[in-house]
Amino acid sequence: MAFYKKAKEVIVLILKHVEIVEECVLSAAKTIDSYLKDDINSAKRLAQQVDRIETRADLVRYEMRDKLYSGAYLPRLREDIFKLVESLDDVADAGETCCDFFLNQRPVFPDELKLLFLEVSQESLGIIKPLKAAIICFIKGDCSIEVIRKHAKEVGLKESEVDKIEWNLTKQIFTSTLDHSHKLHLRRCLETIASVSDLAEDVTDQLDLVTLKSMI
Amino acid sequence: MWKLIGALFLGWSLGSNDSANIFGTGVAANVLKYKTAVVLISTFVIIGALLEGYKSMDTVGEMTQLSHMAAFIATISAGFCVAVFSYLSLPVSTSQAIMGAVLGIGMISGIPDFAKLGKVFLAWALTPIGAMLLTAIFYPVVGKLFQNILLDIERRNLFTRIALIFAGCYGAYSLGANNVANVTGVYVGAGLLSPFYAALLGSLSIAAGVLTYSRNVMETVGKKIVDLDGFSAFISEFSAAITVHLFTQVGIPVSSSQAIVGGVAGVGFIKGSKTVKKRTLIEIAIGWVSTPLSTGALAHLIMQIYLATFGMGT
Repeated sequence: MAFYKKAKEVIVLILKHVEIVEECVLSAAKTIDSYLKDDINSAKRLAQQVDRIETRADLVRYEMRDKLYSGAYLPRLREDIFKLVESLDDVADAGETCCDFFLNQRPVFPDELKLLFLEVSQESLGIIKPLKAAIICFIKGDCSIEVIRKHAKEVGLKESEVDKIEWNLTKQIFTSTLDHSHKLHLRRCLETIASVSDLAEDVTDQLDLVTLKSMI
Repeated sequence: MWKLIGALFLGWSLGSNDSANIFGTGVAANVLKYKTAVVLISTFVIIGALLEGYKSMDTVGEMTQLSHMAAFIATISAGFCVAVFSYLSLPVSTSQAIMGAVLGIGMISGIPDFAKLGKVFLAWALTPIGAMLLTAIFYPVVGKLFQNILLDIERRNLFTRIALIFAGCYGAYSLGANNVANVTGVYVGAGLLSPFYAALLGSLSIAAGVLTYSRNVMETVGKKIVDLDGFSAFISEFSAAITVHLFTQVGIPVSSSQAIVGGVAGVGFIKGSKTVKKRTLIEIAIGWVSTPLSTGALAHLIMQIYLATFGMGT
């Protein structure tokens, strides 16, 4: 029953990967928080930590991929699982990209926009919690399809909330008295933050597809 | 005993081709290794042939009474046509091939049993339809259990793998029980072999084909059907195995290839998707006519030449 052992190991690795991605995204949120509170030293330290966590996530993903493609699951399911993990890894990458943006490009925030940026980053990166719940539910199989979908719906709602804040913030940026290059820079920063929730929604789309396919 | 070469050749062709229907999906999906698959197929083909192979021997043997030489010509013609069709990648049924050959020779003495012939033709048509209907019944019933009991992907995966192996072993058993008559049935009718030795020799020759020359066909066919999800593959294989086994009970050799196509089509019917290309269905329909016609014509021609040369009766 070598394939059963492999299948079990894949599940363990996926769960480990989900935990690491959560740690990565939450650390990225803390990085942004520190930066916006002008605690650049903490932000730097946290950003380095995010980089290391993301590397760990990649290593677990590679290990999972190797086990998966050595015959752990049937081809169709194998591909679906791999796509799901890949898409989740993109969320961790997006968290790391946020940190890189802040620490490399050092955007300057006017005081009146800081709170809104803080809000959008908490919403966008905080999406990892319902996302993690949905994936764990599916992988462990300890809840029904309806519960998985409920968690997936929460992710969708959170993403819509981010979109709404993003829209308002974009308007505020472009109606401000900042010079145009500064406006564009802040807009790029906002897009980078919002991409985390966009990618999280892609993960739930993939999850939806897998659960739909598993229905007979 | 050299006259048994035809049977050995036909059995070898059958084994190398039809094993793909049984474990093609499993091997392509890495459910089991090729070597394990061929050992399982060979074992269950032999068990099936020895336990139930005699049931279809009568139909083939009694279709027309053949001499030892006629039995040899029938099997060698069928084996040749199966090999040529397989080389050309055309779907071919050994049941249809041997029936065609037997009839082709039987036409010379003008005594084919048309009552039995009608029963056989009906069984050919009912094989894919039967597998399709069984799939339509099993899919929702087993599927509901599968969905409600096995919630996590790990256990679902394990169940599907074991189920695929089980369906494969059962498919091999059915193939042995049903198709061994194609290989050596004519020799039973000709009085050259007893049903037991016919089943033993036939199944060993099928196993030889499985063990020595099935890899390419298995990989090709497996990849064609592997697009199905594991559960659908299991249901279609299981339905095909039951269909072939059911026809064994009424003593009619049928095509396992056509049964599996029926099973796969049944999944498409249930899921509202197209799982079998129209071309495959047309090829099956053409095969119903072209396979027995070509083997019949070849066997008839060889027999005529033999008679003209040596002047012996059939």
